[in-house]
Amino acid sequence: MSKVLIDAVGLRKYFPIKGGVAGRTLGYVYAVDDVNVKIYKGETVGLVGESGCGKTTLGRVLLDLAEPTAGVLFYNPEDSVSNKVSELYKNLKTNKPSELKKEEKKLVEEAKKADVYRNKKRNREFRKKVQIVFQDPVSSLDPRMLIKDIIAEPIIINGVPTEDGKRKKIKGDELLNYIKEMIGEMGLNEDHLFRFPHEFSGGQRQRIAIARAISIRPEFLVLDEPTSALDVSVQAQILSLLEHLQQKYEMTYLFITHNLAVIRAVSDRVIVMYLGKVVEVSRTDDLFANPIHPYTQALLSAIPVPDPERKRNIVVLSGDVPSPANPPAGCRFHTRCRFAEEICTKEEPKLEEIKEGHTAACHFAREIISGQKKPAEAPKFSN
Amino acid sequence: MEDVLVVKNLKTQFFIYEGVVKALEDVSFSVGKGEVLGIVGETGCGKSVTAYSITRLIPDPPGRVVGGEVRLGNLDLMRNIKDEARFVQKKRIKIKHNYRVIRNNELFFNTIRGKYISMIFQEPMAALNPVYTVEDQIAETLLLHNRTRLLKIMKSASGHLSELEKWRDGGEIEIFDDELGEEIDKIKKTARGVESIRFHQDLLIEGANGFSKKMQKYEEMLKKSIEHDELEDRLLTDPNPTTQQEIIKRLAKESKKVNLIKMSKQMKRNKKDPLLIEGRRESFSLLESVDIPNPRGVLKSYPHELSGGMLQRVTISIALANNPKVLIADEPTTALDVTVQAQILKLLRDLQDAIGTSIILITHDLGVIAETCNRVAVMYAGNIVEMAEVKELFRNPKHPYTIGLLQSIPRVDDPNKTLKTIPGNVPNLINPPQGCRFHPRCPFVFDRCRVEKPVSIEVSKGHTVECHLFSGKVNAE
Repeated sequence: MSKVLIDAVGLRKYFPIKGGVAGRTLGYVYAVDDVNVKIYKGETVGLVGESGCGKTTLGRVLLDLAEPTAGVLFYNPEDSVSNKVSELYKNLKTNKPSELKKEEKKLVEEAKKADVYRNKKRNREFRKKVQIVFQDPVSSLDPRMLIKDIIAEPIIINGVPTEDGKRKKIKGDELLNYIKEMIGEMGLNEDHLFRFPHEFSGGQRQRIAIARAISIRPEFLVLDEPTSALDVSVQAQILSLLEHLQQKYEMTYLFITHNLAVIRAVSDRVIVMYLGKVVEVSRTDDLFANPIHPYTQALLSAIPVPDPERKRNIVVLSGDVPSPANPPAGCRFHTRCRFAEEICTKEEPKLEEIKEGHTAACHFAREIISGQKKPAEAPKFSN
Repeated sequence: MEDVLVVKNLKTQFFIYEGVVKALEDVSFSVGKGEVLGIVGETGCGKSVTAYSITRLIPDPPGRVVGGEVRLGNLDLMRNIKDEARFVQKKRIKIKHNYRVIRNNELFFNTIRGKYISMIFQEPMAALNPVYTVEDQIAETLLLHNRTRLLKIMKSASGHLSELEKWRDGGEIEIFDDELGEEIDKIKKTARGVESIRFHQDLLIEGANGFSKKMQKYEEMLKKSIEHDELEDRLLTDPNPTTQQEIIKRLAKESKKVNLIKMSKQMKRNKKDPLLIEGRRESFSLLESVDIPNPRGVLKSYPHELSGGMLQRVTISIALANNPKVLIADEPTTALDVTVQAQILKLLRDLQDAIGTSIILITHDLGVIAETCNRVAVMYAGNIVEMAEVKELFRNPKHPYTIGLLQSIPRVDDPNKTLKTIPGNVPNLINPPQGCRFHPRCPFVFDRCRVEKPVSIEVSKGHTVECHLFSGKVNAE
């Protein structure tokens, strides 16, 4: 397998809920809770889950756009170091932020030796290598900038990579030519450069946002629901554009979306999240053929298939996603799970490798795939 | 199959500074009884404009239904839209409104909307009023359109008065608590149909005399309300336009008395209005019918306290409160997650089986169409380009646009399929392309497409296509 590009260890992001007269902290929203993610060079990882499950937050934390409450983020790590740190982080069990800070301090000495992107100088290097495309192209482009300025901005700040691996700042005609080449590749033409964002349709705006993101030739690109605001025909255009760009510039993608059909079309591996936890990680084909976690099974069965003659077995999940501020104890999915037993309400399942390259966090993962455990009519426990 | 709603040559335009946007051009379709018709297309192709045109919700200015027919039963809903405004063509188009006709039409449509045709919107949060509780909003639609139902329940409940009195005199229950306590639940179990306990508390306190006086008043109201209902039903069944006109005049006169602003003020001021209380009680059973867990808690909550899926259930219960003939669902699940989408679609299907309402389902998701609809209309740039039974359309798509659309969806069940794209964008409808509106993006374009607008051709039974590719074949045969 190719080299690990991003390794997140014990990543947590809690948002405080402020309230009352004095603005005290009343509690925390556990948006991302103890997530370990490895992303390999050159692959496309799909990150999928319902709204509010923390997928966007995870994307932002992986780019260090949001500072994690605890956890380490490695970029291009040495395996020995990252493995050591991840062993250490397994002991971090509390979920109270104040205690977390204390306990983590003990680990920090080790972590410091590692390639951690947490200080400003390193961050600047990091920024040149990672970029993000946001969901809503209307609000992510400055309405008062010309398209050429929008695309030029990251180049002016970070420069473009040259053949010898260094970065060169360009300006004037050279810059304009570079942008023209860029925009041609996006399927737009040169007169579009001298217009404002509001003159474009949704699909075109998303192309501009992608052009801006890849103008500095990043190695890692986070795509945060890039097509969910678009029509299917335009979505197909954007997806094939992204595929073409990935091959050309050898980028690694993290594709965040709630649309499983899109995930299937673009990604090599899939991470399924539920309420701030990773519940299943697998190769795409394997996940769609044999989903293990009951949540993934329900999610897959809920997608409408554009084929009226195909009769499907829909597992309709009852109820809504519980609030991430007050997640259920034990396995977070047990309130909606049809396989849930007593143990699920108490003990949190660990993410285990069930078969090669396919990990899931469920107490009954093995029983479910072997067919020994049959689902109940309705979930046993509910909130 | 009997057609409930027939739309013929519907034409809607928006008059804006840049020119006239021809949003709908001769849209025709019909919805059978108990059928689910799907309308699918890209953004800006006129799906929502179709829905809004049928219910006359197009904001005017700038929009305006300029022609066509929408038949609900025997009644043409668009019968006098031409009198509403005159177009004066000088350098730019000017509109001269006839406000008297517009006002009367508005009053008339208030009786249609919510009762015969109701709608579910894409954003449930925006569709509900943030300052009223859920029960008040459900009660509102019942108060406006279904007084008969409320009054009938009250009447049936009054039959149990003597029983209630017996219990009181027997000393089993001494005082009725203001809250719904255990005692009241006991009564509810014993005397079936007693929906308005609180109303009866008042009656018991006032005694039999007060009751008969009050009940007389409500009996009269019931009589009037039944008359009103009969009038409305006659409007839809009567084939004679002149009688229709008379009925509309009478209805308009009545509905002037019941206006919406008055109604909401009444709700604020008089919380003890028995009819309103009855409406709130009824809203409980409506919420139960849409599978809301803990309906009693939801009744008292405000829209911001509920999740998207719950809110959509509330809007569905409002839309179906009066058993409408046609339900228009405008992208009901677009703002929801897949798992919640599955819940809502299942709910819609179940309710449709139970009530038998015809549904027009507007969506851009072909997967949703395949799973819920009987028939599909594919729209492109203000035209219905293809229409067929759902199986026929997916098995045998004819129009190049439909084919392109089907090939551009990523499939969960078929991963190896490469995505094909339709080049280009939806055209600007101020200056739509000459001839077939799809020709600039069509892979099969030939000379005739650029000049002549295709007409609808039936390729097989119930399968119509607007495309020149098929007109030649039909002629040859």
